[in-house]
Amino acid sequence: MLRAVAEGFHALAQRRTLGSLLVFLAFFLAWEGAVRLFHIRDFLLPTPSAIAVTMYQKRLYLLEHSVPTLVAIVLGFVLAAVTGFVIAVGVAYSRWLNEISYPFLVTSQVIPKIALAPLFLVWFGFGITPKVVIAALIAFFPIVINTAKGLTSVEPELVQFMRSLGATWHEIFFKISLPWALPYIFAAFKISMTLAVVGAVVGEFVGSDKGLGYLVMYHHITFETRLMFAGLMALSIIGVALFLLVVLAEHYLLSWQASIETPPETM
Amino acid sequence: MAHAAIELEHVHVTYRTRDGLVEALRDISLRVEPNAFLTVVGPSGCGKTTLLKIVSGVLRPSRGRILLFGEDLSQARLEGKFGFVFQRPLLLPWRTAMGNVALTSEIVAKQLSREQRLERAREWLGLTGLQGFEDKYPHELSGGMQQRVALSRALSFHPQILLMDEPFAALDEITREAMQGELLKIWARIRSTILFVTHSIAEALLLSDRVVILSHRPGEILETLDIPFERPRAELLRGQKEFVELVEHVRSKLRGPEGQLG
Repeated sequence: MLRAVAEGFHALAQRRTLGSLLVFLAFFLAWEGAVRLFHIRDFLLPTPSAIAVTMYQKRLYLLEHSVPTLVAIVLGFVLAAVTGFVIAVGVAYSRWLNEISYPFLVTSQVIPKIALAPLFLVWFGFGITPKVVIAALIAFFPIVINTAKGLTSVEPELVQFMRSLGATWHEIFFKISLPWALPYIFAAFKISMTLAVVGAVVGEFVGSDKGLGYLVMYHHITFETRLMFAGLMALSIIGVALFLLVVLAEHYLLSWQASIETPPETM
Repeated sequence: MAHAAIELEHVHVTYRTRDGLVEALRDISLRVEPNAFLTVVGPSGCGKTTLLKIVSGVLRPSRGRILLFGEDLSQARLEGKFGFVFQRPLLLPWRTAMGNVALTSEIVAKQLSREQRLERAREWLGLTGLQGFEDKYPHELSGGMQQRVALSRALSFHPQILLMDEPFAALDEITREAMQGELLKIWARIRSTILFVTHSIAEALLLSDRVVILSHRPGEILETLDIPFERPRAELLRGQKEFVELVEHVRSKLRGPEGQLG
């Protein structure tokens, strides 16, 4: 297990080549240089170094607000993954469920979920629940679509063969269909994880007295741009870390896929 | 008289498609003796695959009767009776060659331990000439090797009947000929009943005891040929006069009186 994770890091390190890291670094340098060169005022755009200093000085404050956001993102993602998976299995195996659920699924995506946030506040109160629900609602759609696509892309002849051997539904699902769909599922997980971050922050914008979303909003009002940026940075770090976690899990579970050139398409 | 392994009596198959009814197979009657190698040869779209689906119980015929070892198909226990090899290997990309072969015995031979199943898989891979490739993943194997894995998977649980649906059609010619030789060698050892489907006339004549020529849609039996060549058959057979003549005979049959190939 540990070895696989280490190998995963190694693979990541290889993919994130030195070049892209340098470009990333150059971006911050250009930012720093531009702000200094053009004397941009601090409340409009602070320098990255100033933001870093603020982050360090306010680290406990940032940490205190990171925890509820992190919890909301993770819970929202897990809720999305579980419900999305269950719905996908239903949609993939039942034509009837497929037909009746389709309008609901599409409608749920057409409605701007951000606009639903105030409603959830009314329903679920002023705690973590509305954040988790909004995060889950935004994140679950790719999981449903991709998982269903993965499950239905299993070769029918193979399933026939397994049936002819007397394999049960259970055996076919766990030996063939689920592993077959796993690359599709992980492609969706990666998208959904980033969406869950959006959802949690939207929830905190609308009604919360803690979390990084709240922190950014609060310092918007108090006109402390540096702290707004510090909050955004913390959010980015959390988002990237969670994304990498999904990539690592994918690498561990789909190690067989590492040397295949073409991964399945997303969405 | 002993029962045939597979017996079809006046089997008709009609599909309902969007464009109406399509007659896939018309009045098919044939016998495959136990441990015999029978090949159905015909043009694309003659219902060869439909025939295999009928025999394995995936599709029901519109009319007619199918008997497996004297027992009506609808009453027979079919579990584990058939091994399938398809045109594409259809291996599980996340399993090694050995894991892929072991898949079938995981379903059929649950009484065996994991080690026993893997041991058995290893033996079959050896038989199909894949010694040393047990731990390779499918994408690390060539097309011919993948098809060998598929063959091992189909045979490893000792099915009474092996159904092969154009298993070598996707391979290059050299690999295909090598595989045909391998199949004959393996079959000489295991002696199970094989129902083989192909559009290659030479392949049909080289491999089989008996060849059934099927016409273009609706698939109808044009002729049933008993193949006289002695076994073991060698590659040399392809060049022999009798072989070439028989190929020509089948070709003219398939071309039909109108001089058309389906």
